[in-house]
Amino acid sequence: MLLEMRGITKTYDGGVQANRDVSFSVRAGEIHALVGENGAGKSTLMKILFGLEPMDAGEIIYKGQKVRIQSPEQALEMGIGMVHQHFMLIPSLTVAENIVLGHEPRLGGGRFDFARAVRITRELSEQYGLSVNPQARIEEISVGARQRVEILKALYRGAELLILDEPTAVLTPKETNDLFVSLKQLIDRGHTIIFITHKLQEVIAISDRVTVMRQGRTVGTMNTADTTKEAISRLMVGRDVLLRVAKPPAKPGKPVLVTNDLRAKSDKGNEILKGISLTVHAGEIVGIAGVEGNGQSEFVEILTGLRRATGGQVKIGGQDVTNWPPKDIRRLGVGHVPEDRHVHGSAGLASIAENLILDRYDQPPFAGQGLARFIIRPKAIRSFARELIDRFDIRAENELVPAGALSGGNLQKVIIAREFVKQPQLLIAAQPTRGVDIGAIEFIHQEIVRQRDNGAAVLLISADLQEVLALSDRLVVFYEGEIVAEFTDTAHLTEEEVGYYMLGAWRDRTQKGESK
Amino acid sequence: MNGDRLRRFAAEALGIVVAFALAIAVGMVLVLLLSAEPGHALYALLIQPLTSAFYFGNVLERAIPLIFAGLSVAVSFQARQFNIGAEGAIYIGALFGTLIALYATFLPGPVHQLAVFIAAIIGGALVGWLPGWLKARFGANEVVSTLMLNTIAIKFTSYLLSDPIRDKSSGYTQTVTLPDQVLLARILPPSRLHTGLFIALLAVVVTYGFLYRTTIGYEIRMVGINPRFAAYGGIDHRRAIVLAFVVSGILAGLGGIVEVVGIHQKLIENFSPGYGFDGLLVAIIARLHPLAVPFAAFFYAYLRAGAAIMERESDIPQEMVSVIQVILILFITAEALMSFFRKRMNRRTEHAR
Ligand SMILES: Nc1ncnc2c1ncn2[C@@H]1O[C@H](COP(=O)(O)OP(=O)(O)OP(=O)(O)O)[C@@H](O)[C@H]1O
Ligand SMILES: [Mg+2]
Repeated sequence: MLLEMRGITKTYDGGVQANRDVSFSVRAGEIHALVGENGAGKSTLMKILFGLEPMDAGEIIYKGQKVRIQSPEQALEMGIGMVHQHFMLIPSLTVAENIVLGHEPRLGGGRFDFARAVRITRELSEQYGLSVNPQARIEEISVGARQRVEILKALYRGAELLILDEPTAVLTPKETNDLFVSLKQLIDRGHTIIFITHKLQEVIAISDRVTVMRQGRTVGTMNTADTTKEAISRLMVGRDVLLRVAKPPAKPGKPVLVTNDLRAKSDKGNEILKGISLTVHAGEIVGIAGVEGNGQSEFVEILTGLRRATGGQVKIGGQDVTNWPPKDIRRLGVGHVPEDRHVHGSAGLASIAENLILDRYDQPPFAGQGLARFIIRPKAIRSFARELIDRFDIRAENELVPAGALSGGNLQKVIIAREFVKQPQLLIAAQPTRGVDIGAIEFIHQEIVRQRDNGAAVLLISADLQEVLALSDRLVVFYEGEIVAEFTDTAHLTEEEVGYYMLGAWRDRTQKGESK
Repeated sequence: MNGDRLRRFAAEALGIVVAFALAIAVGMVLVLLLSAEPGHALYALLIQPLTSAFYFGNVLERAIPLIFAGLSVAVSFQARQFNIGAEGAIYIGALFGTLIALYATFLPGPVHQLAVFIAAIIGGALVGWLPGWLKARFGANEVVSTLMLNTIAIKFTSYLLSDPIRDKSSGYTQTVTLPDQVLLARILPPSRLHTGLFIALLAVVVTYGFLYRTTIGYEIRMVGINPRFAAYGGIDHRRAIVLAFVVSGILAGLGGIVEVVGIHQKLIENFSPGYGFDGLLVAIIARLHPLAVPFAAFFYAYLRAGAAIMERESDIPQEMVSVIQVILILFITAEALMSFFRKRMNRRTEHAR
């Protein structure tokens, strides 16, 4: 055994028991998958191993010796490296600068040796087959590339045991495949990998062994070859999980969202939307597939009033709402699950309850009426929050906990709850299940279908092709700011086919209703 | 879950008390090193403010303007606006109120007094509004605009006091004593402590209610915590920012007039020894929470009053207290940083075990 963690117990300041007597062991040279529901304690266990969180009890045995890891520096010295769920790179610095940060090569006189940093980066990148451009700024490169930078950074610091916390949550299918190839190469070079994910097909595809956590405990470790997705998910959730979406055929009604030749410029001033015309009817789910950065985000921002259109028109429920402010658009009954739950979706220092009332704090029963309409009613807000916590199965001590203390998946449920409970006529869901566990994915998918069946028009944007394929009644593909394909029959589509359009290899070859 | 809140509050409060204790400890060490009669100096600084109604009244009377200024800063800082215009608003609030006190004497007593306060509120609101509007409309940096506005407000007041509203019979740049009916009653003679204390405490409660129990307070706080979240939810962040500035100005303006009708009983040139800036420190010590502001203001005033006594009665100058204050601010901000690094602290204590 390379690593053994025994009896690890950890209670956070707020009183949450994140790890209870956890045992976890890793063999040298394996890829070990760590799975479990949101809040099961995976990140916590890894933070303890990486010296970011102290443990209350337990012991860590690494390379046969009992060790005490009290800081990431110590962990790195021992050869343990970690890539976090949220990236920790500095956007305005270059790739090379980020990689050597903290251990910079120096010229005589102590000045930073940028040329050598670039050389080091290039060598590392070639050695491990993780391609990056050393001179590019982090803010200019794709999410997949940022991930590679994080991994290279850990390798530069000498990591032999590499912890990857949900590395694929933000990747496209192609980027995921590339990552897996690199991980295999790392193993060949004698590294060991701990891999956290919510996607069971990835567990099956790449891991040698898998450990399942549930509610702060480890409930089993298996050889991947001897198990199945169903068996793993049963262990995770404690019941059978529907891995496919159960969905009756759609009954589309009148058009709810209509965009006409919609155009926009990106922050840098180039044309990012080149005339999008799209209609979403009541009672149908329209999916947008596409590699990130092809205009989907900007499209959603315009629909929700967060960005100005430079041309074209948006109609919601028959009204022209082009360039309306967000509040007025929301008032028409538009729900919006934003793609980044930290940037737009939540206020970390505010309580769960305060996060849940974002678009109704000024309406009864949360505010009074008449003269009292400026007065907030904490009782009504708290009981509303408790109800949603219950209904959407948000794992939190109570409704006054700051949203920032929730695990990623639970924070996502807070956002889902807020946007779904208002029964919108138009629901725009961007990456609704990113970083969410399978039990919760099942739940969110069911809720989306339920919104549809209640007559909502649903626009779904996801980098997860399986998800768009499984949920959408109709599918369009975005490529470089245009719709390059539309499919009205999603049942017989394959990922490969859609993939060709997403990468711009095919264009307009498909006629509606048939796949090629 | 109330217990939860209480626990968090207690933890915060404990941190602040510890910071005070440490700062005073450092001050004591310095006094021990510097003074020929350290016992006497320390007694004057720490104990004497409690020994008579007069001294204790001095502490409370000093706390009043600090409470207003602290609240003023807390409101705009919660909107993440680095508004340092409290000093200017103190002067304009005092000036507007004084004008009504001097020239609206035809009003019946209580109405006159009320009008004085309303005038101060209007003055404070105007001074607060301008930099807020400039920020929201043009993105003008509020630090620069409020600093400039402070100078304008103070100089304008001085100008009026130099001639137009000056009491020509006195040799000073000040107005005549204001009419009795607008003055606040003294409640602990011979100190100058006045009923403005109750107005200040009322302001604490109202500010708390404003931030935590009104829709506008919610908007202000959300804009302060995550502006992009607020925008996404449809909150008009410009309006929220402007309102935070306005309320901040109102609180400081009230502080100004209360000082005039409570302590000086006339408007005097440069009557504020920088309360607006002390308000920054008070608000930071209180971690921007309105309910903690009176405690922070009290401690702060206590140190100041003790320093004045110490200077009179021993060989240690007042400035000693500035040293303690600076150390205190260092500890408090360090403590705030500390909570970010609590993990590290835990680790150290675990190590020690
Ligand atoms: N800094 C913190 N303070 C208080 N509680 C925390 C903190 N970090 C995590 N928790 C709580 O500990 C529990 C375990 O969280 P952890 O992040 O380890 O879960 P996870 O398994 O990584 O979940 P996810 O799949 O959603 O990332 C959760 O209930 C979470 O709310
Ligand atoms: Mg996690």
